[in-house]
Amino acid sequence: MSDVIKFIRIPKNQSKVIYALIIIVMIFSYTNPILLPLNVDLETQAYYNTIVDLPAGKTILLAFAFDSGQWGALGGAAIATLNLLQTKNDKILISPFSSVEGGLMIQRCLGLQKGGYNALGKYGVDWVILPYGPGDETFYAAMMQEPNGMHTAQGNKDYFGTNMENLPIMDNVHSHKDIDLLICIGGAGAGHQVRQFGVPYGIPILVADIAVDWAELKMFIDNGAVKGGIKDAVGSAELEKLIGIPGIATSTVAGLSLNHLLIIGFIVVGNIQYLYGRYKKRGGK
Amino acid sequence: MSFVRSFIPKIVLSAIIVITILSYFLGIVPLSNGVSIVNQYVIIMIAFSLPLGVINLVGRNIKNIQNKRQDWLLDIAMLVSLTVMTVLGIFFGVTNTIYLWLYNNVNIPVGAMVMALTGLYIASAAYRSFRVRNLEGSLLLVSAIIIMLWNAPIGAALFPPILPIGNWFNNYPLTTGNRVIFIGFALGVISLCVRYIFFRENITGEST
Amino acid sequence: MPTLWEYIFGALFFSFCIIGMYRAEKRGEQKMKTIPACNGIPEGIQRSVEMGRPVLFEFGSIALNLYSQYIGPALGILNEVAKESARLGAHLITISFDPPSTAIMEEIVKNNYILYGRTMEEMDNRYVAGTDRGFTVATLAILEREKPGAHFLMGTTSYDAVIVCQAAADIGAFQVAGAIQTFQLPVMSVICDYVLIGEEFAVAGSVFSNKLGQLGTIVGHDWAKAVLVGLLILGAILAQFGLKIVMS
Repeated sequence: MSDVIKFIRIPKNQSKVIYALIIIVMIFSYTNPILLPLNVDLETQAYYNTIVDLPAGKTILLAFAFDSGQWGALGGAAIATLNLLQTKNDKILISPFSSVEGGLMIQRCLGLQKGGYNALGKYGVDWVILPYGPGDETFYAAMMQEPNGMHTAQGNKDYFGTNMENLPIMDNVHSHKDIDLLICIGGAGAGHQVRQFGVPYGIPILVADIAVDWAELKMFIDNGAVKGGIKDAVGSAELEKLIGIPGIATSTVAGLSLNHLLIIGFIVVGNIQYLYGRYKKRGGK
Repeated sequence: MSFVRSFIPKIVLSAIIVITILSYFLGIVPLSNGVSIVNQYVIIMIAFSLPLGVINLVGRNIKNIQNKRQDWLLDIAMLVSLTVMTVLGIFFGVTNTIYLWLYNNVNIPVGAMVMALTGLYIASAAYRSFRVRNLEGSLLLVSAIIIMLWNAPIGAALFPPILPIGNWFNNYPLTTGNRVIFIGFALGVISLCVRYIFFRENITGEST
Repeated sequence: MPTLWEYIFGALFFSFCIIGMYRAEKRGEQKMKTIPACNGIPEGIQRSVEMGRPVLFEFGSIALNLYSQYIGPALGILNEVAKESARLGAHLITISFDPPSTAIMEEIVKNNYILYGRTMEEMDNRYVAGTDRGFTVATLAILEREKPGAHFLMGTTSYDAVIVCQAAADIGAFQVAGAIQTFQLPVMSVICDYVLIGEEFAVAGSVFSNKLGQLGTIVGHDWAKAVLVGLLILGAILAQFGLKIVMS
């Protein structure tokens, strides 16, 4: 028994061994991708259905609230959402929420969507990028306020400095009354979206967020405050499966799976060592 | 502390809280307009505070370089990258090629790398901390393994019953625990607001 | 517009807090259960002073103006940390990645330092980067170089709590974390010495101040919780009979 334990135990400079194993598994998963079946969650299905079922001609506020650290988790969801919105005939207002990098992230995702940068239609008519406003919830509240919050909170200009009077899409968008759906990619939970968009104005909300924030997001999905949700890279891969365009997320899911198994393996090995140590202390062999 | 510094912030804070709450519950248009104006002021103040942080950062880094503190070369690298991105962004716009190239090829990989560190630390922490020491530790361990298997597609492929078990965990204990904490904190915020409105809370660090 | 029940419960919970506040002040006393994590904060600072190491305080890597309702409780705790550090002569390092919070932290630390006769040159408030990733790396660097004896993480964090808390544990720092979001609660409870969860975080500042009015509002919020628990139990029982009055 003690020989088995000695064989599987991780030596004293544990961290380096752990990191090395993780890196080896990651390299293996990228060089030998394993195609795993994906079960689409109810929340991802609800996210997809809400967008697809929205009647044509509505106005969607698409918020980018994630930065480069969350690219691996939410980049796929952002690009998949853009690909899905291309199939709809809605007006799309893209806004960088809560992130100074939001505008840059928007540029990146627009460049990576199917069909290229202008695939959403004519800029200023079918879609527009709004500027970043500091203040987070204060900014959202200012945007939604009547009579003309959507213009005044943005300083009456778009992301590129064009006056909103010269953008036909903004002619009929003034406040909360003109927003039919909010899709938020990122944003550290759904609390501020629910507080500033959902509860006061009843705007339906969809959120894609990292797994760490899922516990809070699930709470809002369960009580109906949020209509659908995408959970991290796995949810992004499910959305890519639903729209039929595999992307970044699908390619990372195999690596994610193998590393999860590896971490479980570490936990099991650690506990075997611990229990064996306790057994030895009590005088066992 | 002088009257102006101790009392004026409390009055301003109290007034804003009262106006915001009343505008939500009573829906009186002048109050809503007042809140809207206050929101604009807050956005302006926050925008003005952004350079404050930069001044603090630059000042401290220059001082570190002058004193040749440990790793002062990294401070030089920080100042150079700050200057380059600021100059490019202000004078050439945020859509210029070099700015976007630097963002896409430097910022995003570095940011993703930092987030990837989490995975390494989690693995190390999981190995060291998730032990069957007592009942609570065992419960944490079991639920961690179930959620990890449920999250990864390979879990369902290897062990199909993990899906309904994970869904149960997701729908009941996870959501319940979150709701409890959220509701408790929301009530705590109500009591905090009452303290602010009635000037019972220290907001500028008075220790008496 | 809010529903009728929002008016009723809003008014009820507000009244409870006001009644609790005036009741405590009138009675002249208010007993309060001790929160172990609140005792941990002075303990950590004392330990740092004995070891000759600094104290590190941070609000976390999510901007306070994103979670502005958490700023009040976190400031109350910072006030206590700054007070104890000023009193005991500890080197307090405060870090923030959000400019408005940097300004607020400076004000609080300055006011406490003035009270205890410490000079402004001893203040060490650092603004580190404008994004959460930069903040995480900067915190790691500070932990590695300065090797604080106590690490207080009060606020909201995203994925970086495990990195920062693990790094602080590696250098042997005494850690107290406070969180409302459950994002990193499991990690914090495993790695940190003490954790303030949810409403403990909201009331910690009041517990430290020990002022009757503040403690009274905590009693009021406990009454509000009792009402909610009663409604939950009633709703659960009625739901078994198909009556969804409470749920609706």
